[in-house]
Amino acid sequence: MPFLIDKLKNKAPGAETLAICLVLTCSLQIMENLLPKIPIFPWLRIGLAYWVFLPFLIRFGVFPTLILFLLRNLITLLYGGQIFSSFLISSSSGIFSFVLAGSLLRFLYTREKIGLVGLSILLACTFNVVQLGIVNIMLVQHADFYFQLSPILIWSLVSGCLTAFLVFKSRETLDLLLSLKLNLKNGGLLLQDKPSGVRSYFLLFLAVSIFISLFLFEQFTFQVVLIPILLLVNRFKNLKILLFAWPFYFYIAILHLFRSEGVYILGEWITREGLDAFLFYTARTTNVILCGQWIARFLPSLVNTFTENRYLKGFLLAMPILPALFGISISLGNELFDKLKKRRFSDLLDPIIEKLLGELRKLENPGPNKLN
Amino acid sequence: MKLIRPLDCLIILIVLVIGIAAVFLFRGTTGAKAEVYVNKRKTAVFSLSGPESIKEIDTQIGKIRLEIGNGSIRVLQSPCNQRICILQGAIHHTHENIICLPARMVISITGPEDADNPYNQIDAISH
Repeated sequence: MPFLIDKLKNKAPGAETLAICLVLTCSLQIMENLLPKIPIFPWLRIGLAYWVFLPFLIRFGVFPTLILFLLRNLITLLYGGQIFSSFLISSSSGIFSFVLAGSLLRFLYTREKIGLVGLSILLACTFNVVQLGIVNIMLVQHADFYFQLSPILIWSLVSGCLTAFLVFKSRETLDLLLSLKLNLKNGGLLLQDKPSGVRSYFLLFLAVSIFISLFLFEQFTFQVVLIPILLLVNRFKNLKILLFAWPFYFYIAILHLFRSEGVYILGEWITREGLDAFLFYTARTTNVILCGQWIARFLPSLVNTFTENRYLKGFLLAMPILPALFGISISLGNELFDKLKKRRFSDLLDPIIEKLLGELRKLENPGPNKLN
Repeated sequence: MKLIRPLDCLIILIVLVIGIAAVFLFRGTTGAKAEVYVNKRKTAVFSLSGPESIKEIDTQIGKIRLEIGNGSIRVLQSPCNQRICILQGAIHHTHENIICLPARMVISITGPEDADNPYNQIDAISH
């Protein structure tokens, strides 16, 4: 059976496809970050997000994939607690590897010279080697650093094969996902009292300013003061979103509460420094989630207010789903483990895509989320 | 959609060969000193011989605690987010590095042959 992924039309992805793929890649990355790391080489990652990037590259080409990759990085910088230096290194490596190797590999794949395995391995190798080079240029500046080349290449083989296998097994679902047309009517996304252009720009400016200040002002007091303000603007609604984010709080607790050196205040487990760091990161994560929830209330209305760009539309469509990102990541992890145990590889992605589509369809009935 | 084609097998073989060759190309010897760089500037040099001791390094994100001795060095405590530098464990051989990106800190091991380096000897005399 021929698959649409292989029918290369070079068409740009639809906004709905981009939105779902964006949330899916974010979930895959967050889920991967929650997995235990490999001892000795803790920086090695499977790169599960390539499960989506690979078919996206084959179907739509380099530019849309690069946009998806960069938007994913931006969102995980805000939600997933990724550090800024990692964001810069990962983004620049992605740009180089997709631009340098993406077109060539896609060409070879479409001419049936290489298969999914070859494409996936070569892309993984390029990304990892470019990343190694960038870290060396930025930080190490020592030829000895290329000692890491060996484990990185061998790991690229393993992760490349695994990703190719996952793409192959879920090709039918991915085919549907990449040709998605939900026909969400504008009326579904636009709120009744559509804000004016000026008001939209003001709200967007305000939202971006809050997001930036969350990361610039590393003051605990600032973060604590912001929590009730954001709760108020959200009218204390849908607080279960914070409960969905429990794994991230748990992750912060493991990272900071129990592993920081300092003056012990509770047995030999918790130090004052650890507690301070834990409270700060918890407050900041809460603010990021609440801020995302608040933005989600009015961003869909901006979709058609001032943009016709399908990439920006896709990004804005993804925003309302993002506060549920942690919940989605956990259920994705559970589903994956369940199906891997039962060796049911064919419909691995089905339930999670259904959930994401459900979230997207909710936008057609925004209910009480009206902009005042 | 084809999972694997004949050229893929060749790709696997080439990557595997380069990967294994890199092991031999960059095969390290037992290290003698650990050099610590913060923001690309060498801030400390520690001898790896002798019993284990604890040292602290100041970085832009706070103090990083190192355990040095018995021929190895490792990061014991770090205020960084993901603790990858701690998880990496101890390093013993030349060419090995520990990198903490948030702290912009690099620890690299140099071998005993560096002591025979004429430039190092001149440095030693001038000091």
